[in-house]
Amino acid sequence: MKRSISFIIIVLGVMAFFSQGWAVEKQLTASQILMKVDDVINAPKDQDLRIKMILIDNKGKEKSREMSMMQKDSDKRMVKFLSPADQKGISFLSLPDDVMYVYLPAFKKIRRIASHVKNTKFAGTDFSYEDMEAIRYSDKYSSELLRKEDNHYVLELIPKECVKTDYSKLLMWIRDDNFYPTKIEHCDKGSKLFKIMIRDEIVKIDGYWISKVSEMQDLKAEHKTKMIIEEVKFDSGIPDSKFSKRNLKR
Amino acid sequence: MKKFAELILKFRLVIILVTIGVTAFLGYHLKEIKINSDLLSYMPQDDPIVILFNEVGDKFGGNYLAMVGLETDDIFNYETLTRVNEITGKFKEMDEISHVMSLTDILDIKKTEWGLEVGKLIDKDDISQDPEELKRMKEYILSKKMYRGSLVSSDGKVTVIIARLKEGDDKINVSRRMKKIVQEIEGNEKIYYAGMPFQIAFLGDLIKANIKMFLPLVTLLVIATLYFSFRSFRGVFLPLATVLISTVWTLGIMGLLNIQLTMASEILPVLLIAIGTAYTIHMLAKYNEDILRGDSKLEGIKHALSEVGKPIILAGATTLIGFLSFMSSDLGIIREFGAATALGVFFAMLISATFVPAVLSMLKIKKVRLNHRGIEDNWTTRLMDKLGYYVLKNEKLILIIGALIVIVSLIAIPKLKREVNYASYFEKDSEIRIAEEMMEEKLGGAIPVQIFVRGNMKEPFVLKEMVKLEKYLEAQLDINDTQSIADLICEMNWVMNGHYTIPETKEGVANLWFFIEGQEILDQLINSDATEGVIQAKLGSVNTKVINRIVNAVDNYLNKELKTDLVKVKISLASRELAEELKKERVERILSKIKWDIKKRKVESINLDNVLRNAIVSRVSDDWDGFDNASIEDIGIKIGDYLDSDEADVQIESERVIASVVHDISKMLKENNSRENEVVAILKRNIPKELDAEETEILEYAAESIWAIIADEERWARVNQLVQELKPLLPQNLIEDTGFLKDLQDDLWEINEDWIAIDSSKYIIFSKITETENEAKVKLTAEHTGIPLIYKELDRKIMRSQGLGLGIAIVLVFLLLTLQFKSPIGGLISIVPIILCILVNFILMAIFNIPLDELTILIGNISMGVGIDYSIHFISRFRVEFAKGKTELEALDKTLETAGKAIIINAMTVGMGFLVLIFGDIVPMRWFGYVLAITMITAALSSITVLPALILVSRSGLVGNHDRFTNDMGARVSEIIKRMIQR
Repeated sequence: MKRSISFIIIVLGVMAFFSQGWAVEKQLTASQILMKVDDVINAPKDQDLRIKMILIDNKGKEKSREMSMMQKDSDKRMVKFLSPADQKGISFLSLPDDVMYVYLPAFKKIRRIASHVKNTKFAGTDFSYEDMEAIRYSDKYSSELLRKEDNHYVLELIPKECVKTDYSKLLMWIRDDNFYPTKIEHCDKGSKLFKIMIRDEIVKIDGYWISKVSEMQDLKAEHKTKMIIEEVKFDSGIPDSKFSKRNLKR
Repeated sequence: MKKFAELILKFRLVIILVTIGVTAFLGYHLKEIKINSDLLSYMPQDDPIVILFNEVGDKFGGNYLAMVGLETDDIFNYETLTRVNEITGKFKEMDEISHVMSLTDILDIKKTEWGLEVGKLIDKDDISQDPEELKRMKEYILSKKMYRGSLVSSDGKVTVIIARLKEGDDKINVSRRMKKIVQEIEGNEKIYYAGMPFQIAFLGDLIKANIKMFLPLVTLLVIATLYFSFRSFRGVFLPLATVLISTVWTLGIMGLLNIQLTMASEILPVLLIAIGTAYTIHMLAKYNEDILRGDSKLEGIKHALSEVGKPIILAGATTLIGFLSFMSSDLGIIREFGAATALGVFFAMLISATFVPAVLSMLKIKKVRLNHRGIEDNWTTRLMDKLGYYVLKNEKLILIIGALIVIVSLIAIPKLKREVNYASYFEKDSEIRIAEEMMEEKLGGAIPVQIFVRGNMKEPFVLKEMVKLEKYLEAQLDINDTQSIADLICEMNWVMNGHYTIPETKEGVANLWFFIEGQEILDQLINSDATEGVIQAKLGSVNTKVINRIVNAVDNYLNKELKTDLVKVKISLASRELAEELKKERVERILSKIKWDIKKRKVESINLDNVLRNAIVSRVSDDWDGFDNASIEDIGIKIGDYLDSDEADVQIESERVIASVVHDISKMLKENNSRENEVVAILKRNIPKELDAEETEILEYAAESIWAIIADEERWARVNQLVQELKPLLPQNLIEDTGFLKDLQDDLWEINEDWIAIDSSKYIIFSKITETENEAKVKLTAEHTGIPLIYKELDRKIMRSQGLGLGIAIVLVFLLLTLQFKSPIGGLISIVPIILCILVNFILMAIFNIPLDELTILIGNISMGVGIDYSIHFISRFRVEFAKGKTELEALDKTLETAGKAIIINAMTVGMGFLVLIFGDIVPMRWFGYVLAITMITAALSSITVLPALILVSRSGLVGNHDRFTNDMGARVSEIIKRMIQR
């Protein structure tokens, strides 16, 4: 038994070695790269974040809001606003199958929100609800490797048919060492570049790669939003019950 | 004068060459001349009204709305919506456009069975082809006030794409490109272009086309007239050259100085050509006369120049005064027109005094035979004879008619219609006018009205004042589709809580705000700090009278009714006296809102005030009878549902426990003894005791949630009860109007609120303002801006220009003629005929309902400048004849026969020139042509009738020694006056 396991490990190791070598020589395909991206950004089992969003308008004026965000798998998420004071307590709960609830403390009411709000902005930021979603790019986009520059792969992502999205095309710059995407250019339906996301301060925390500062710029609105991750906890074993309507209110 | 003549002849070659050179140079710059058809730019840009208008435009994405309407049997079909979407998309790509709003790109706040949706009305990437779904979409869209009658006509046949243009860009160019985009996206819908940018472009095109048409027409007319007068090539060529050269110079200089052609100055070429020939004609006539008398060529020119020079200069000077008086106007376009025309007149004079004699001296002598015998027999001469006879016999009657004209004009002038707005400039069947009318009829109009509000846009009581103001606006018939941030908040509140009102707390507003934050539409409604906002509305009429009425109504509210300095207080924490006052205030607020909601529906306003007031007051005074059994059952079900759902703060597995909780709560409600503490007790009593400390807290959460359900139900019950009580007091048609009942409910919702705002001046009677948690100051200001206000101000300025410009012209001409004739009475007598003629012009305008606008306003001064020449010619000739030793009657007779005839011919020629304008496509231009043509004739007539009558009656020294008068009219008049005084 022990031997067979070690044998398998060796075989796997050899295969991994060869495939690695093969890959280095033969280049990774676009879809392989994208799969790796998905694996890297969706690696943690759950995450508990404290986020600060800074909204910057075309005159350089800044507004900020803070929120906590819990996420488990790619389809369970709870966002609670902590500031500004008059929006404190507003919470969102996203569940599988595009089910989303909001709680408004001023009225003590929970309401379900339609899923097709996706292309609208999330809480006045330049991130749309779609951008805030944790997605597997490889599920939604077909990809093509355009070039490699400065240690980055540059992929062109075209939404697969039957995928509803606001974007007609994405250009993604991906670090070739850890497969973390550092920049994504979003093109609108007219194939015009209209949003640019840049991910900065990519660090490894508890074994997972994460960008602590990301920025989304809306070129048409001349507006941008900085998202700063202030605290992060990975794999703290958040129970499913946390993602309930009951918990929205607290 | 003689010296000048010699100088001209000495340098004749230089003069000709220089003239040609300058003409070539300025002619080259003609192509730089641009047309400015933007009415708003006609206002002085430093006017406070304009500054505010531009400021608001800058802040909220631009003041210029371009609208593209699509019409078909039912616009809810895949092809039409796709076309709307494509056009919207292409418009959005244009840098000059700040926002585009259309069915396929608009924020929709939607309440659904299970929750809410904040998103786009129609998903532009997934436009349905399914007829059933399209039908549902149509029903939904037409059910919402936000869209029906503003974005889609209520019959579903027209939809509009509204583009807001950024400030500063060339509107003509942008609207042309927009049109091109629309034309490139094919479809079967009928297209309309409405709104200012398209109107500006359309008007600009018309002006250009008209100028191109007028120039050859008026030139031909002048050629014909000149040919019949002189029957020689030079007789045609020289005057024509004069006016053409002076026109080229004037327009060339405008091009060079970047002065644009406007609604006023577009007539400049016609005007110059029509009146500018006179100077050369006089020159030529005199030269011909001198040559005929036997002068040599050069002698003749010298003679002509030195003798005709003076009257030409005098006539030219009065004309210049007429035009230069426009420099007193506040309006740039009127000043530019005055200056440019004066310049043109001056050039015409200059050229007739330099270029014309220079050319003449180069030409061979050509004896022109003037057939004196023939002339005496023709009809004009006979007419003059008859007229002379009549005037000389009936001078008294003529003066009485003159006096009558003055009296009638006093009545007529205040009745003059005024018109300053685009739509009225176009013919009824023009593309623009049709589009405008369609917009008025189906989509609430195309003229934006705006109220600029400063104040915290997240403060409930600022928003409440905005809602009130909007209700007032909509109650003014002709104001439609008010829209502001307050509406979005109300809409959100409706989706969340079921009533279309502003929440009473700041947190409530902030919670709702959360959903619309960052939405594109906000840029058009508030600034980025939410410290300023704008209420947008549309005016449903382009009638100047309506515009003025609306502007006054809005200003009236803003100045008198709007509360700008408020203190908000919680009634529950106020002293008893203050609370009483606050409740009174609340009733009044509710009443005004209901009143406006009624007025908006055009229901005969029976005086409901007191009836409603009493009913509301009796209900507002706190007492609450409690829920009826049906409501209690309802509440029980809701609480049961809550406890059963995963929303429940406390997880209860047992259905029995839930039933028992519901039972106890129902009992509490029946006893009308509801308190939140009681709910906690009920929960504690019913829910199994195995709770640890944390879970006691959970029970409090649950009680809070249950209490929220009960409190909400109570508010609804109170409002609905009041609605039921008010119903019998209202007219039947209102009770049947579900829209009105909904409004009524929303208006009455305020009775549930604890916060209320009161004028700070009233508040300080009761208490000092301390700014605590339960009390705060609320300040706001609101200013009216928008196109109707600009139109009204433009109208006011035009009227002022008219009054002032004409006054200055009259005074200056009077002074000039007084100096010339060395007699103030002489000055007075010479201007009376033209003043009468201007009064006649106003009377005619009043009778035929011709409006005073940017063009017709010019008529007074033009008649003054051009018509006064007739008086001058007449008096000059009379003096000459009288000096020959004739009696005044003989002299008048001779004057009428010669100068009188010339005046009539000249007036007819000039009048014909102006008549060319009636072929134009711009309505004010046509009126201008008619009125000016008639005015030229009346000017001529009045100078050959009123003038001699005045001379005879006044026995003025201006024509020489009146002691020699044989007519005793003057003596008789002074006798009559004496007798009247004695009586």
